[in-house]
Amino acid sequence: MIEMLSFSFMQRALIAAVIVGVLCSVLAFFVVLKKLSFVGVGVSHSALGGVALGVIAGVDPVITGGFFATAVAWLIGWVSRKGHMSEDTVIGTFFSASMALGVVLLGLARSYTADLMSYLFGNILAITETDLWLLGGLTVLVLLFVSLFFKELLTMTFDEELAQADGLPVGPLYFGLLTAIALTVVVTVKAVGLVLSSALLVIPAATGFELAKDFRRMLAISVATGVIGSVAGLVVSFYLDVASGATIVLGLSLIFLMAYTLSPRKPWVARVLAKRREKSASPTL
Amino acid sequence: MASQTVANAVEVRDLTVWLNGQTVLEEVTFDIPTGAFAGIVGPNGAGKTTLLKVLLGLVRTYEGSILVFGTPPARLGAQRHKIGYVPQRPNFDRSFPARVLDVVMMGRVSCRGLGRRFTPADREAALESLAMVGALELKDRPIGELSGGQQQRVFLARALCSHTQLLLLDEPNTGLDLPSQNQFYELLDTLRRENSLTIMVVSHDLAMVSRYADRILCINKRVHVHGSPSEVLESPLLDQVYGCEFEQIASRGVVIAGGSH
Repeated sequence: MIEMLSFSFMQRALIAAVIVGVLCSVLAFFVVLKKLSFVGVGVSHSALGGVALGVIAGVDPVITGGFFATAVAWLIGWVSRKGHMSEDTVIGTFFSASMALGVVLLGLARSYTADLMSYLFGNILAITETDLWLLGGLTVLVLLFVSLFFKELLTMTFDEELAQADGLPVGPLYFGLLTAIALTVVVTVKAVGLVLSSALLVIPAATGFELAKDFRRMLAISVATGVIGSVAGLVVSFYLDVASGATIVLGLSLIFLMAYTLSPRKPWVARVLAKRREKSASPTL
Repeated sequence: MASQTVANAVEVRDLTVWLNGQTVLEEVTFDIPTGAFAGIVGPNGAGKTTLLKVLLGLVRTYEGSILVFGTPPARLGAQRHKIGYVPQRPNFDRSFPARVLDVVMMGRVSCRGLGRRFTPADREAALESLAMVGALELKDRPIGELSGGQQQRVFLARALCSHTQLLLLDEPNTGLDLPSQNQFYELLDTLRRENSLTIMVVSHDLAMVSRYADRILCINKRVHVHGSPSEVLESPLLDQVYGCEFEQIASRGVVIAGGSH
């Protein structure tokens, strides 16, 4: 471990893993409860079109990718809320079209073809100090947005129509959430890649959901899972010399599988827990 | 709750509403006096739910004039918390990880204000609301584990906890057995008397509503009959609202009205 930390690229990677773990797992809380997983997948894959545009135009791909992903996220939100088309049809259409655009554009810029894999699957070991500042800055913004409007976001997530009847600005809140998801996808490109970032926007909170019946505990478990899974994945990838993004996602998936198997939502687990409670409550002779 | 009292909690004039290109309500005009218990009845598809949604500002494709406490719904702003709403079937996921008290406190979001944290006063108001509907012992239970009747009470508490003056309920008895329906209406009536509430209940059960409401609004796209329960039950215009179902409704209404008063 100490040997690993002697490399400055590993120190940066470790800090990035912690930040990505926190950022993604906080948003994942709303993604899972509001059932936006497919939106996350759609936006993350769509971002490739924007990243490729940046590569071709010689602009920072994070900037073009950010605009592109946000535009796609808003379009998904707008079309689905207007009710002209179902959300999954919109996502299915945009996500494949934008990805195809990205692959073609990156193909045209032949000198950059090698970058395609790093955009798709990420390389957390290549994180620079600037990337860290960008990641940290967005994390602060997202955490501010979530903490400032937590009760409103939770109310909207629970029942959107009731929230609207309460007079909450449901539209701006929803689009704020979509923007946060889109920007998160783009700034985590280097760490885990576009394809795998959607996993980070689901798995930590899905783990929390399996283990908790109270949203506070769900959020805490989500953040813990995000951070532990990301750091553990990074460490394992270092020692096994395998792709870091994929190892992080595999680590998270493993934690989720354990949570799913032992979830108190499972009838057999609930029975065992109830028996234990009965035993501990009964007076000892 | 020291606000000026307006004579009519709700005033609707020549209201026509469109949804997806269809006219759902047409030239609807009525008043609901402050403190009234009004039943809105009519067959399926009559526009009852839409009427509530227009009053809540959820549907805005309309022509005509609507005033809630003297103000159009879209301009209620900070006064929005005066309206409480209990939907027919709350659209939440039963596995949502929230306790009953959390759900009731969501009803305080509108009076606390955007971006402001809940205070102990919000928690107290939510607990008081739960006590008012007789569901205080449920406060720590996960919302998804409650029965339909218990959930209905929790959502009523949610609608009441923001200094509510006008309570709108959409088919609150869907899925409840007859004794539970009666208990729920008794509770509404008590709450109205003790808290000076104005209540509007949408229902297709004219007989049940007639027992508790002091005025009935019979709609089927248009307002066909509007008056006291006895006036409405005896009105020949009910034919236009319910058609062939009228005989059955009228006889149930007479029997129940005779039995209870």
